Amino acid sequence: MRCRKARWYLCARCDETLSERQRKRLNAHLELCSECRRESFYFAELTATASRMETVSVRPDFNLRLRSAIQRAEPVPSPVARRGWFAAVPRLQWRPAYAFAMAAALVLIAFGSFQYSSYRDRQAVAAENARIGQDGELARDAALGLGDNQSVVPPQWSPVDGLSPEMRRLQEQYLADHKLPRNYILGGDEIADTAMAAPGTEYVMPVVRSDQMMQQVSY
Amino acid sequence: METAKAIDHGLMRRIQKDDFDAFETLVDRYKTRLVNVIYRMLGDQNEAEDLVQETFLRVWTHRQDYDFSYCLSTWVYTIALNLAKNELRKRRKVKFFNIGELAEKGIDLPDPKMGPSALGHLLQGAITKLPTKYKTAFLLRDVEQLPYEDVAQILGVPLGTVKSRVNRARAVLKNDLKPKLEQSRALSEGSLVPVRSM
Repeated sequence: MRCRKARWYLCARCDETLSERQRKRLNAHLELCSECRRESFYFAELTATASRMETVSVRPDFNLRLRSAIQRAEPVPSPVARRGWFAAVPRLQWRPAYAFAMAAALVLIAFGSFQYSSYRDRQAVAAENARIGQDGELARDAALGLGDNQSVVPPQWSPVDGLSPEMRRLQEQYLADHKLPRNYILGGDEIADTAMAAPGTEYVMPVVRSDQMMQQVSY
Repeated sequence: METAKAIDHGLMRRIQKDDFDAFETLVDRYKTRLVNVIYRMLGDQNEAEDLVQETFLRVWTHRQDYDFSYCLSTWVYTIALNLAKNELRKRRKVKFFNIGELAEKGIDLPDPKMGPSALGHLLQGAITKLPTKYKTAFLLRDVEQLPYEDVAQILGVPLGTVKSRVNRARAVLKNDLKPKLEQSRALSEGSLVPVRSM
């Protein structure tokens, strides 16, 4: 056996994974080779020292410190609170990931319902326009004196909701001057895009007469 | 007779039902072993205890995520060693010492005049200097005496890789400690007589 193979066997001997035949061959080599005998001693001494290395003892307050660390991170369940049938109810743990998932779900639900309601409103306007036809639509717009930028909104919308006091005053004055109902609304393209009718309602028309007012409404 | 794995799994089932007494039993079963492994990696007992505390904190926090198809010891060792590796990575970026500073801080250094019984101390020092991947493999296999299969699971590497890392670590340590090992060999063969220092 060559020394190189013997060194490999020496490692394997540390793990006691040598077969009987390998062990005999190694021993025969060690009888003849003083260098490998020396290496054999080194390996044996090293692994023996490693296996009986001095151990450090854990400080006695380890468990106490751990308990308080856990209490800081999460309150330790009280046996009284979990008694009886309540103990069978799974404990809901507060985790940032859950909070994030819940917030994301809420945003998705809100966005989805908004989209759905917008879709239904658009469908309703389209259905109404289809019912009365283009001529009917034009006749209705002409009767109400609407321009190209003007649109239809649900009657429950109040034209003065959410406006600044100045805008509110201007708008109310405008509606009164033209003897229009309070739910007529001023608007430009921007307002027209968002002013969608609810299905099954009577529509009223937004009216824009003043360029100055259009600009102010379009903010 | 109940095996260690069965005992651990029994404890873990109770822990999953929020049984803190079972958790403390588990802590008592593992804390000394873990503190020793981490201490040998970092060379600082306080830091080792802090990391082992963090390990158990994670075990408690993630108790519901435990997969019973694995050994609990594997899971616990994996958490502890990953924390220790992160700590070593952080240290590599910031800490440089010289021997004088260590002595001023009162850190125990092996006495070069010590007899062969000090081999353990020297071995500890040499282990600290090993690259992390060899160090963890050597500590788990030769110091903790875990089977190769468990070491492979803990380190997440194939069995052959663990064997080669352990052998490499042994070879490096043997070379580092050669003078002391030689002294020990000479003593065991009677060619060297120990001298008591005055």
